[in-house]
Amino acid sequence: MKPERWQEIVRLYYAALERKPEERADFVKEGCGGNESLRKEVESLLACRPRAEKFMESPALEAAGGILPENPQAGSTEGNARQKHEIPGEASARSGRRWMTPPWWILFLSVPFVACAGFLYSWLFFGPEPAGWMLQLDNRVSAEGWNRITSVGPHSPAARAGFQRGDLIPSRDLDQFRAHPQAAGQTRFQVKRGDETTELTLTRKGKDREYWLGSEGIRALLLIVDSVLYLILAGILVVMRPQDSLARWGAILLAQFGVFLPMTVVRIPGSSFMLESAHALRSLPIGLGPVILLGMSICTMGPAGAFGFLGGFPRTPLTGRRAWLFTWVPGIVVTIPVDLRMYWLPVYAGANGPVIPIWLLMPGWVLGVCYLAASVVLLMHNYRKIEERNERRRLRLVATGFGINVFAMAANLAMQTPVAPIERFHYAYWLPYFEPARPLLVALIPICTAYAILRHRMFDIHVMIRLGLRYAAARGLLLSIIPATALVLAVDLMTHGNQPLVEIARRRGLLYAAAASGAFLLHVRQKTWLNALDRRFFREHYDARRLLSAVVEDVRRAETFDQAASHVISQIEASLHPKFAGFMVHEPGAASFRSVVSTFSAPAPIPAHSRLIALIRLLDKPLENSQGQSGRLQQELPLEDLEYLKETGAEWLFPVTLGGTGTEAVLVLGPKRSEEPYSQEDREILSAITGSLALLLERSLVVVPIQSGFGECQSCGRCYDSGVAICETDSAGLSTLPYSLTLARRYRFERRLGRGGMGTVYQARDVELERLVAVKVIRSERMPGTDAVARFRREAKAAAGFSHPNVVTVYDFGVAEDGRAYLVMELLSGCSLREELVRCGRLDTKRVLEIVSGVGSAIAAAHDRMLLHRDIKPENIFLTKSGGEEVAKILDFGLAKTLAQEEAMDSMPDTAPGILIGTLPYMSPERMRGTPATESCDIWALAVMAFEMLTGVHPFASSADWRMVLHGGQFPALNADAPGLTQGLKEFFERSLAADRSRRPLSARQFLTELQAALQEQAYLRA
Amino acid sequence: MAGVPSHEVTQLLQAWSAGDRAALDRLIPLVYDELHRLAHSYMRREHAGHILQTTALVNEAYLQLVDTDKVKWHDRTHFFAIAARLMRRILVDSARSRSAQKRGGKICRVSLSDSVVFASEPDADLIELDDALTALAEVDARRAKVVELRFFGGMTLEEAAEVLNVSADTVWHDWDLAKTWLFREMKHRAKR
Repeated sequence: MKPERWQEIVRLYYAALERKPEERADFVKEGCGGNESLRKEVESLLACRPRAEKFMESPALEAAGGILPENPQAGSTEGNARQKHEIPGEASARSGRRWMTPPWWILFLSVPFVACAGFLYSWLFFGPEPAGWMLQLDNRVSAEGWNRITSVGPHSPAARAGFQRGDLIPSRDLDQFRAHPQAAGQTRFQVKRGDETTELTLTRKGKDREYWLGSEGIRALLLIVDSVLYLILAGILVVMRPQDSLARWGAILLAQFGVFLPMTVVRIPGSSFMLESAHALRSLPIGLGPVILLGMSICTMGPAGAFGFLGGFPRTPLTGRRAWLFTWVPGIVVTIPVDLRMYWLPVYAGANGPVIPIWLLMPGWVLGVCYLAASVVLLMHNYRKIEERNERRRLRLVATGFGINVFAMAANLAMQTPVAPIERFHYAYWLPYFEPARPLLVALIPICTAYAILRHRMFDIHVMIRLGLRYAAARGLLLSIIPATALVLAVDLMTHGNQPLVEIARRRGLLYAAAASGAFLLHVRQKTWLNALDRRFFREHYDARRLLSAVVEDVRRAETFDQAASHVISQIEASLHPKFAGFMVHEPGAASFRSVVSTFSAPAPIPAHSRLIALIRLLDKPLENSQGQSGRLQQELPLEDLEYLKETGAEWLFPVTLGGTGTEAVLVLGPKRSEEPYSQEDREILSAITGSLALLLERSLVVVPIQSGFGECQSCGRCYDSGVAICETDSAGLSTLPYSLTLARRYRFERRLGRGGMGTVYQARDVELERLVAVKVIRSERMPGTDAVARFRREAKAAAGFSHPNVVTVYDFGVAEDGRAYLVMELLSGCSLREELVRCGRLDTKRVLEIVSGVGSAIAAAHDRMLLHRDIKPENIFLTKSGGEEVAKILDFGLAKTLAQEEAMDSMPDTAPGILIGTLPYMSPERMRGTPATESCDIWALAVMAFEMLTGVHPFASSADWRMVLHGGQFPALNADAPGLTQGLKEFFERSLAADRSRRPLSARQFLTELQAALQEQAYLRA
Repeated sequence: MAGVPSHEVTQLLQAWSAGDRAALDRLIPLVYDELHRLAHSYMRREHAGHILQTTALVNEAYLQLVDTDKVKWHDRTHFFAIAARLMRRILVDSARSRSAQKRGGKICRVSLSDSVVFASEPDADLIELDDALTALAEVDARRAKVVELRFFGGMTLEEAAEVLNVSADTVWHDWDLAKTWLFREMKHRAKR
């Protein structure tokens, strides 16, 4: 596009925006003056504008969240998969931030809840027995004020005293009762029943042992336990997910229920209870009483809370202004009269106080019912709308928790109608079973809610129950074997009590010994077995992840697709337990995809031209077929394809390679036998596996047959396939090596670059990423056994995990199928510091400073990460050019070993017994004596190297017979008359290379700073 | 990188601000590494419920790398501009490498339409956006820069305005047009 045209577009676009939407079209038409393409361009931009509004709304990183590869260089599929599949718990455990500080207002809101719960608990524990009646406080039938008893609980003090429903009591007596409620005692009441007036005495007992052991007391305790559970889970939700508004709503709802529960203990909540506890509340320190009543008042808004939480579940519910508008404001307004009548007036005004007419309470009740009804409707609506199976499970779980309780409570409420037969049934059959079960039922709500919020991936409820029961049974069996054996033996002894002990031992001694040794074995192994049981039940999915991640690695090494495919299928079967799994392969020219490997019966072939295959080709990503889902798949696919999916029961289809001209393949998976859905993590690992398989499938079309060996030119190092006898370039003979030219099916050797103590370095081509790399093949005698291989892997991993501009980058490492251990590194051009020293003798000061600074900063960074190099020497420093400047890179960090391990191993010898790692002329005195390597050995070597670069000679060259030094001789004196040393430098090196470790610089950074100072001084002196 | 001394970055930053192009070449790998490292640690924390925020990330990188007492405000905005460019590179590079591994280099073109099946392919979208943004930069460098600063650098209008030395209002207008144009461009490309 030309700049002028763009300018014109920009001008028209902004100008059009200034006008009203309906005038824009005309304006643009006019402005373009007949230039149709310009008009179209501007109009399409204007048309796109509203839709682009949300585009790039959140920054790229947030949008891409969590998909960076582990390492910028080695972003392998496997690393990628691992990165993505971290278990949330693990990840947060690593970062150490599982609990977070909730926002201030939540802490503020929790005060009334906690105060209220505290008061109710203490009242329940230490207060007197509740009177057990329900009073209608405003039923004033005369000026004196008579209050009607609307209900009397069975076996309650009120019932014992002879009160009946419909009795009238004067406010005067009630106020007296309210003002002096002794913990236990008698209160006389005037009672009007019909036309007669009598006097009854209410006797309330304190809560003694008898009370707590009775059904009432136990029920109260259980409900208190429930209430505590609610509050604790509310707290956990808030602390674990303070930013998640769903969790906040859930926490508020649970807290509301949690505070409300103890009030139901007295069976008759509300004004009568408040009348009894009024004295206690008013005698609390100033301010605490209202806070407690505020807590109760917030609980009255339970239905609003339920609406806020359930209405949006499992997505984010109402937030911000809408939350206030739809829940809290109406909730507060309509419940004020209810709160006043139920809580505030009985406490602060008494029975003679002002009266809130009953009609004012109606909106509160009506709105409460509306909220509850709306919650149910929205919950059902959401359930229909959600397609993700896991979300549906979460919703079902919450609905189960609430549904069971709502049903039970509704039934309970319905039976409290004053119809004699129903009431009889209620007391005789319902209450005895319902009451003990109620605490359990009630506990379902918080458990289900918290679980559904905190766990994002879950089993179906019935699977959970089944698994739980199986686990409990297995654990119980294991734990009960010892006591059961002991019991059997004891019973046996007792039943044969008349026989002498010798007789018993003779007859069944062997049996006893076997039982005892079995029990002993069990006792010893119990912990292990219990752990195994735990793993079996709960850690299976960790294993699954491990297995599948290993598959990605295996596939990379496999030679043919068929071989890899059967391995993949067996591993998928072992880790995910699908009902079936298989690969369907389509050869070019064939009519259909046929099954090549599968567990159980092979699925029928799919026609290659079917809509299903076309769709997967188009999407190029896994396709889910969830049965019974009114999804778009049902609309997209023709009937025969749907039938096919239904018959095979395939749940997921993963494309391996589709759309190419070569062989195509699809991985078909049935549902898991555990009925658990495939999680996002499963799908991502499976995608990674199919991705690797795709490479294999493509490669297997072009790869030459495996070679039996390769030739390497003895003089120039060029590598050839077997069969070539003479080097093309210099006609020298080739030495044959018994390995394939392509290492690990990925790195094709081109030229030998050098040989060292560790192994041989080749220039190779990475056939997957099409780039040149350096591959170091470790000498086989350095890798004598599996121990060495394991150590190599560990160390290579440490090196690969450390990147620094002055350290050669390690791309990959491993042990190839033919046993060669290798490290793949960036290919550098340049020469080693040793070569440079041989060529130039001495280097100039500025260059020395640059090289030492680079190497030193890398060493310092490595030391920060507890990595030691242990073999710093000019041969291991490579000088390369980058952006016109010389950069020194350290090679061979592969020898490093973490300091932490070193400490753990104490003074164990280094890599193999009797072998000292390092090169003698660069080894510090204490290292020669055999003390474990520390940072100081790297710094020492750096100092020796710096000396060598500055002077061209080794600091101890004059007298060094290293073998003698090693065998206990004196460490030589510094070669102080080396050329080019000023007094300052000499002092510096005398310090840095002192036999006494305490005189030397402590860290690589300190070494650098001191060297810089010394060199600057030298420059100054010269000037 | 923990081993990079802050004075080094500070000096490079000052040198670059003073017009030394070579300083930028040396600065970039240092900042790139640090941003990359931070992006990772941020993502780990995100698992624990943290909200991922580019601004916080870039700020942290700044505090880690630069000796804040020694730089002028002007240098600071320069740093943030580099950071935005590097964040673009980090994200797009990683999207590309993943994409390449997934399907042997072939980038699947996916539309941004609301269709359930076609959406949720952040990698391809990001690569597509990067291409479109490069195209935009050819005709209108400033608006492309605005997108880089806002979308990849997570900057507010005011911050971007400061870097570009224009008013926040201008940035808003630029952002509006650039966003619309990119959106349309990506839809076009997806159809092709």
